[in-house]
Amino acid sequence: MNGPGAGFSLSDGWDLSGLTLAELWLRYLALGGTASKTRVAAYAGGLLRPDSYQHNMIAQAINERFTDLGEDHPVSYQDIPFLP
Amino acid sequence: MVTEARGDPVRQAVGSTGRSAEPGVARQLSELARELQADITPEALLKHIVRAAVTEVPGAQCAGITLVTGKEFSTTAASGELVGRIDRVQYETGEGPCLDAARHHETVRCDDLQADTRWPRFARQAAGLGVLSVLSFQLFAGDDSFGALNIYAENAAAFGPDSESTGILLASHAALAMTAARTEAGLLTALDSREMIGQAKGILMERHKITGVEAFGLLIASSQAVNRKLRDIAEHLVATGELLTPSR
Repeated sequence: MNGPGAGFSLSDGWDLSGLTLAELWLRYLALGGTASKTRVAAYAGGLLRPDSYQHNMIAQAINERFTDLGEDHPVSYQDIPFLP
Repeated sequence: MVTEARGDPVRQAVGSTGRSAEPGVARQLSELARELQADITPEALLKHIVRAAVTEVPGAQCAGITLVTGKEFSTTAASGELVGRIDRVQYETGEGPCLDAARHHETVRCDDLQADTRWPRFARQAAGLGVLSVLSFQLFAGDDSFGALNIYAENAAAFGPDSESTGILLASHAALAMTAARTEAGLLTALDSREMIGQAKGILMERHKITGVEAFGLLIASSQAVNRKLRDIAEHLVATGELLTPSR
């Protein structure tokens, strides 16, 4: 089990979320993403390493599925700033 | 044709009667196929499919398309008032051929509701509304939503194999239209969200003299801190100028 702060990788989080690729991609587009469905699949599946911006957008897309289910943000982010 | 029939509803439908569909059905289907590509709303197309079900399915007297999302039950298209009333009976009793088709089976047929033991409460009330024969076809089954095309008749044994095969052809078109409608609805929601998040990023970029990537990071930090979706964070910021944090 991962406690708060540890967090899941994108691919583990995607597996646990139950989102289909089409659903994940739509959520990613809704957050402002512009990468193709194939590229998002490669990032989220762990085949390609995204930069931190792409990583965070996909992590957020997956985490919002967990928010819908009443849970917190289990997938970890990269280089998130402190709130002002 | 020697193609394997399994898994192909159109071919199965034609094969089950040993002949092709009636010319009227073929004309209707060809019109529906054109409309799928044309600039009409999915709702209008579903209404057309319901009308075609009544005119082309042998024995049919009324028809409707029912959508179940979570616990919500809606009649998306109907040929008459009776369809909505029968749907309500299924919703209230929590049982019936339409629900079975939508959730579990591709096709459900009942030849006489008075003699049917599968849905006793629904059967009694539907028979009271003057319906004895029912044909229901699954249109799609998602995580938390289901859809079905339902065709009704007041006589017992109103539907034969031709009715089923024609119904399957219409249902396959309705399924395509519903998928298109769901895709369109999803894209519209996504566009709305993108616009809101874009505006919120712009506010933060100007306020803190930061890049778009950094602004997006701030929105995520806020989303994580208060456990709310990014679109909600953005909407609050755009509406009030305030970035949500746990202390506020």
